Order: sequence, then structure tokens, then C-alpha cells
Amino acid sequence: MKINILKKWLLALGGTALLFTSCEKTNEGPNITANNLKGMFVVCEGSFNQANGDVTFYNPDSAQSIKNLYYKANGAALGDIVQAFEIVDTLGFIAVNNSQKVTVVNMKTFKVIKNISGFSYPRSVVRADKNSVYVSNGNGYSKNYIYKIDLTSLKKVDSLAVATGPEKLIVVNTKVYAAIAGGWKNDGKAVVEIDPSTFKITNTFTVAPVPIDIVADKDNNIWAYCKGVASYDANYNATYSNMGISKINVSTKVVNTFPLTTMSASGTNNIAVSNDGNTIYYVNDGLFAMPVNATALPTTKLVNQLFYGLDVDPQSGNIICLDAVNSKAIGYNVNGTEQFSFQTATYPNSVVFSY
Amino acid sequence: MNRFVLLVVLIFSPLLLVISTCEKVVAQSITDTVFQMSEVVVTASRNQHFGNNFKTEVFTRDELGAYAGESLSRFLTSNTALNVKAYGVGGALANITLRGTATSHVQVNWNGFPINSATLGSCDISMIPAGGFNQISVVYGASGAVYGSGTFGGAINLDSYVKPEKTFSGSVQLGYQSLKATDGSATLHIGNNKVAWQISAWGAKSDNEFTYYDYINLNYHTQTDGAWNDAGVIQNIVMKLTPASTLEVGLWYQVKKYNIPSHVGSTSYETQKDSTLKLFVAYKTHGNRWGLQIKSAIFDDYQHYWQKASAQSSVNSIDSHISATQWYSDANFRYYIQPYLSIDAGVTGSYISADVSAYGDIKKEKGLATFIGLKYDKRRWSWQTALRKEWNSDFYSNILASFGASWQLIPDNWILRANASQKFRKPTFNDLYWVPGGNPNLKPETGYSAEIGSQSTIWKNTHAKLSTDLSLYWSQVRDMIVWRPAGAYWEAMNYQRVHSTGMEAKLLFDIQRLHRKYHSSLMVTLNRSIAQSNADTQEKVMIYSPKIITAWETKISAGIMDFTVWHHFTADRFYEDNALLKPYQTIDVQVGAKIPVTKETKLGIHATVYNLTNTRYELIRLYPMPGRYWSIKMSYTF
Repeated sequence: MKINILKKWLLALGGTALLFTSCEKTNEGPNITANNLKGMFVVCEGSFNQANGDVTFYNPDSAQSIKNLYYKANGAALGDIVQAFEIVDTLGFIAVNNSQKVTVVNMKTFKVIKNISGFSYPRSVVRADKNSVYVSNGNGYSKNYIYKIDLTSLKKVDSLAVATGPEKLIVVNTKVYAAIAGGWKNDGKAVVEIDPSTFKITNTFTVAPVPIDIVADKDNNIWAYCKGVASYDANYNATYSNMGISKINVSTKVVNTFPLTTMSASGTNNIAVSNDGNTIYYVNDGLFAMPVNATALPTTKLVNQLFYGLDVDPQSGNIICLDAVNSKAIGYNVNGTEQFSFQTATYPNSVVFSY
Repeated sequence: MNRFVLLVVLIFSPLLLVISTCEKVVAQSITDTVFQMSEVVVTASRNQHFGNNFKTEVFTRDELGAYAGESLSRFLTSNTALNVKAYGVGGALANITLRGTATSHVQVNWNGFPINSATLGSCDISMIPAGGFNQISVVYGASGAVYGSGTFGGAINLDSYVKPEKTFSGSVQLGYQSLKATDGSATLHIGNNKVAWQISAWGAKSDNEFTYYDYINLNYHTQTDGAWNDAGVIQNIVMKLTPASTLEVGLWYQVKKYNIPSHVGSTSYETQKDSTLKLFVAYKTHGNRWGLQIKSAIFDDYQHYWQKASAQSSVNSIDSHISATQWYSDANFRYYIQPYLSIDAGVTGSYISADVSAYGDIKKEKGLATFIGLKYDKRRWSWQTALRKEWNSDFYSNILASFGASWQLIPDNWILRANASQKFRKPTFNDLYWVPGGNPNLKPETGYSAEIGSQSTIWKNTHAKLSTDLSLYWSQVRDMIVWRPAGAYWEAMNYQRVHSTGMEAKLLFDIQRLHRKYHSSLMVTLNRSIAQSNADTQEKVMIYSPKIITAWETKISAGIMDFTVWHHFTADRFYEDNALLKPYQTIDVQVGAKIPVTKETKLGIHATVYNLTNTRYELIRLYPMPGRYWSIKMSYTF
């Protein structure tokens, strides 16, 4: 009798357990094939110390997107604070800042080929020349270098010491330009020019304090988005001073700075250039557009919204603005009219295009 | 539901009072009205007195002593099916959740006073030495009216009380783990009929070294940056002032330093040092049918956390100091109207201050709570009802009501129980004052919990016994405080409602013949905990809330030898809205002996292999747990 009671009890327990098992699944998204990785790659930092950064892929033709492309392709997390992404032929180089690595992926499948270690604070990646990519590294306190990675061996082969906190890297007219922001010390105010043939600094341009992003216009002028020096009150509210947008004429070496009166941008990819190189777009307390020959900053906003980053689609000319609050990418035309939007992973900061 | 609970209390309390006193009206005319309650009953703490209708697991010094030198985190992981969330092993931060709620919903008490962090609301159970107390009890769904703020999940009581009686006993223990950890502890208990003194001291040092698979960098990594050390002392003195009164004084001092290891896929240079000084004094006196307890405690906690940008950096990129002082006083008077019917009235005062750099200045909070409770306990029937009201500097609770009842369906063999309780939790200092993101306009969390349960002996004879405990529970948390992104920063908000339902089952089987013992226990917890934001109807599963946890222990003792196997299983659980941590199971094995040296002394030697199958798992994502490792312990008890 009592054994029967036990059997019934155990059956009831098992049945109850079944009620609690679930078939919950995560949303896996559309399948990737070797031929459809053409479109936009949104670099998503993820939350600090959560290792949930990734790259969101969006195909504007089909409007299909994969929110976590790396995870879907590799079945593993990419890492903590995905900072930058550069496509080099069939390879993709992803700088993962707080995981201290550069991950190399196959651009047909997005599967990982190699994790290059030996970085302390990687920030930006750019193809410097036919044989190498450069990675900016350093937060101001240590190991402030531009590292050279050989494209054949996928190894670090050289390093160039720079001033504190190198940030964005771009290539203009065979030269590499690096914004030197100062890292956590917030004391940088330079853009340096590096000659890839010698891997040495050939010019240094003084700009407004803390240049975090740079782009080049149709005349090969370098535009630096300078965030200004931050100071904190007793309640850790930040105020910025001496912020501005500096225009560097690399031929004449003249730098003109357009001062900003406020600083509301919280990301690091805050300036972009139109397809024809005639217009500079930047974010602050909104999205602004400025002709490259303008003599003053615009006073009206193209879009009245805070964004965490932006880039320009080379195919359509649309301005892709990144909303970190809602984890969304929004495409606007040159008039500031929204064309489309899609969900991204957490903290989207920039877009890389591959068509 | 609040109204329903209050309605139950209001309807049933007077009804039960009438029913229960009716039979005694007749007997009163016959029985002598002078009666004397036993000291242990009349001086039982409020938590103990009103705890018998709530599911409680009690662990005595005999069980806790085997974990001397280790933390409560280790003990609960091995011996329960509770959801222990540890950020690694050994000295790593560890919290506990009960019944699908949050870590700040478990109130941890030392001699009746909450030791939860005033800044975070949770309690780091890695700072609690398993062998430092005479008894540790886990009260599931503990009454909000009895315990106050923060018991949506339950409460853990750490009790150090020693009784003045003639005794001389103690133990010394040394242990070593293959994680390159060494620990030691000693306990001494001396007493006579007037004074009892107990002291426990411990120390541990660990390199915390083990190899794990880094699934972000896709390689094996040996953790070498997680060293920690911990040392402390807990002592209690109880003095019998008169035959009917005692004075108890307790002290708890502890210092721990922990190099927080880099988590998976990153390198960081973080260190944390915690120190705590807790002092406690209690005066108890009683008469034939009344008891009075007046007690006071002060807890002084300090934490220093610093982070470097690189190993070589001479400057700290983050340097945080947190200092918090909590002072509590409590008075409780109990009167026995009849030997089976008692009434308690109490008042608790508190003063909390915290000095945290992120607050901008020192923050303070004053609190006052009043309590009244009624308990009936006679023959096969026991019930209780309680009311509480709390006031704090910035907010107050509604009147919290709770009700509990148990009925011995078959005396000593089958007990049914039920309880319901209103709950509340005040916002923590971090929720209110952290800059940026703290929100001084936060409301307290409110809600309720209810449970029905059954404890039964299914079968027994002179040598064996099979028993069970089954609980079904429901709870709700309203206006749960969650930190959410708000622009560039995160902000504390009264963001969501949480509904938690579940079942806890325990099956125990014991056999004893002469010097051979067999003990097996199987614990299963099932939980479904759903969060729904106040802004929309979308439901999400609470993160780090597994649906199933099982714990199975089998122990065989023969003469001086013993052999134990533990098996644990934890189902998958969300660590983000749409991302799951995989389920895992571990097996631990222990073999040992307790060798009698003299009639009253024993030498113990135990060897344990943890995670025998070398399972790769995490309790918190990115914080790896070690694979297979071992320990050896020697103990001497007298």
C-alpha cells in the first residue's frame, strides 16, 4: 500500500516536472549562405563586461538581418566590447577591445579563422597597404602603439609607439592617419600621419582636444571630431570644454577648428562623409550636415535625435545612424527622411559596407 | 492578492481563536490556571517562534562542522538544491536566490538582525564561514510581517547561541585543495551553569589556480590571477545573570582580500578587500508565562575595490571605497495567554549610514518597525498570524500581514502546512543614490507569497525510514527595481512585476543497522519565474532562474568509514533576454574516516573529488568554474 503511494507520488513528481520543461528557443534568424554576405555590417559593442558584442548583418535588398552574425556563424560569443571592423578582401578583422584581441573571420561564412592576441586595448583596424593592416591600441596608460599585422601570416610583425590613446585609423592617398585622443587621460590633441612604406610618423597635426574620429573629404582634407576635455563635478556629471570639429589641410598643414558649444555625443564614430565627398555629417545633440567648403557649423539639425554613431552607405548615399538606446540602425536619405530601420545587437557604434 | 491575504487573516484569526479557546473554556474551570512555560519556548526568538508553519531546512553544527574553513556558499552548493550564484569558486562573490526571486530578496540574519548589504541589498555568502555558527536555517518564503524588508524569496538565519551548561568541546581542522588552497579552523566551546563561551576562528589562502576553456579566445587558459585570502573570528559569550535572565554578547570580525580574476575572454586587473566588524548584545528574561528580549547590534562593513588599466600601471583607473554602518535594536515581549496561545509585541529601530564615493556624500536612513503576532500551538493544530508596519526616512510599508497554519493529519507522520504573507522591500542605497542612475523617487517593491506543503513519513520500521516534504508556492513582486538603459546611462526604475510559481520536493531514506548507516536524499526544485515590465505586456523569464534544480546525496557509513556521493543538476537558464546558459550536472565523491582516539576525541580524515566528470560549466556567464579538483581535510574533535 505504501509502496503504491510512493509510486504514485513519484509519477506525480515526474509529471509536474514535465510541465516545467520548455521548448523555448532563441530566435535564430535567416540562414547564411556563402553568397549572401553582401550588405551592411553594424559593429555592436555590447555591454561592458557582458561579452555580448557582435556584428549585425543587414541586406538592404531583401531587408533581412542577422542580429548576432558572429554567434550564429560560430556558435560562440565574439567577446567584450566589439570596437571596430575592417574588411580586407576575403577576410574580416574585428577589434574586440575588452577581450584584447583581433578576430579574423572568413567573409564568405563569417567563421573565425584566427584570434590574434597580444593587444591590451585595440580600438581601430584599417588596411594600410597591400600586405598589412594596422591596429591602434592603448588607453593612455600603457602600450600605446600602432601594431602592424601581416596579411599572409596573420601575426603582429611590428609596432609603432605613439602618444597616448590612439583611436580611429583611416587611409587617405596611401597614407594612414591616426587620431590620438589621449585614452583615459583625455589629453590627446593630435592627428598623426604614418607612411606605410617606412612605418614611421611623417606628420603631426594639432587639433582640438580629444579627437576620437576622423574622415577625409573629396579634397583629401582630414576632418577630426574632437570631443573636448571632460571634467566631472561631485556627482560625476561631465562637462566638456574646447570641443570642436577640426579640418586639416594635409597639403598646407593648416588646421581650422570649428568650435562646438555643446557636447552630447556618447559614442566614438561621430563623423562621416557623403559619397561624393562634398558633405560632412556629424552627430552631437542631433544629426548635422555641413558642406566641406562651409565656413561655419550648421545651426539646424538634419535629424533631431541623439545617436551613438553614424556612417554613409557608399551605394545609396543614405546616412545610417545608430540608436544605442533602442539598439537600432536607422537609414536616412540626404534630406533627413527616414528610409528604413532594423534591430541590432547592443550598442551599435559604426557600419561597414560590403557590396 | 494583498486584500485576499488580509481577508484570510482577518477572517480566520478570530475564527480560529474562537474555535481553539472554546474547548478550553470548559477545561479552564477544571484545570489550575497557573502554568509555567519552559525557558527554551518562552525565550525563543521571534523568528523561531513564528517559523514553524513555514518550510525550514535546519543545519546543525555537526553538519556545518564538516565545512569548517569553507564558506556558506560551498556548504549550500553541496547540501541543497538552492540556486547559488557564484562568480567562481572559493573566495568569489556568491549570492543566493530562493523561489525564483532576486538575490536582494533573501534576508540573511545573524542572531535575528539582517546583515544584507545596505548598498546592494544582497548578501555575499562567500563571506559567511560555514563552521562559524551552531545552526543555520533556510526559511523558504519567510514571513514579511516577521522578518521585514526583503524576504520575497525567504530568509537565512545564522545562529550562534550557546547555552550555559557544563561543557568543554572543540575541534581543529586543516584542509588542502588542488586549486592551491589551504584552510584551517578551530572552534572551542567552554561552559558551566552560569557562563558559556564559544569561539570559532578560521583562515584560508588560495591561489585559486585552475585551467578552463576560454570559449571567446577559443583556447585553454590557466587562471593565475584569482588569488584570495580570508581570516576571521566569531565568538559568543552567554552569561546567566539570574535563573531567569541571560546576557549574550557576540562578535564577528573578518577580513578578505580577493584578486578578482579576469573573466572569460578578457584581461582585467581588479582587487577587492572586504572587512566587517559585527557586534551584538542581547538581554533575555522571562517569567512563568512571559518572555522579554532586548537586543542590539552594530555592523560596520568596509569595502575597497580598485582596478588598474594594466598590470604595470601605478595608477588605479578605478578606486572605490564603500563604508556602511548598520545599527539595529529590537525589543520583543511575549505573553502566554494559555500554554498553547501566545501573543508577541515588538519594536525594531534601525539607523544605517553609507559613505560611497559614487553617492557624492554620506547617506543615512532611519527606520522603525512595530510588530504584533498571535500563535496557537496545541496537539495537532498550530496556527499563527502576524502584523507589521515599517517606517523609513523616505517611505513606509503598508501593514504587512501574514498567516500560517499546520495540521498533523497523522500525528508525527503527516503534517500539512499552509502560509501566506505580504512582502515588501525598500530600495537599496545604490538604487536611490548612485550617481549616475540612482533614483530617489523609487517606490518600495511590494507583493506576497503563499505556500501549501506536506511533510510525511511514508514508511518506517525499527531500522529504516522513508519521508518526504513537498511544497507548492506562488509569489508576486510588484514594482520590482531594475537598472535599465536610459540614454547614455543606466537608471534604477520600478520596472517590472514578477510572478513566480514552483514546487520543492524532498525524499529522504535512512537505514541504520548496528554500526552501518545508509542515507539518501533527493531534492528537486521546479520554478517558473516570469517578469513583465510595467510598460508593456511582454513576458520574459527571470534571468539566472533555472526551471529545474536537483540535488541527490547518498552516504554510507560503516564503523569508522564513510562514503558520500553528491549529484547536482541545473537546467538551462537565461543570462540575457534571449541567451541561455547550458544545463550542467556535477558529481562529487568523498571518502573518509572518523577514528576514535579516546572515548571523547576523534580524528577525521576525508578526501573529496569535486566535479568528478570534469564538467565545463558556469554559474554566472563568463565566470568559469573549475573542472575536476580535489581536497583533503583532517580534523580533530574533542
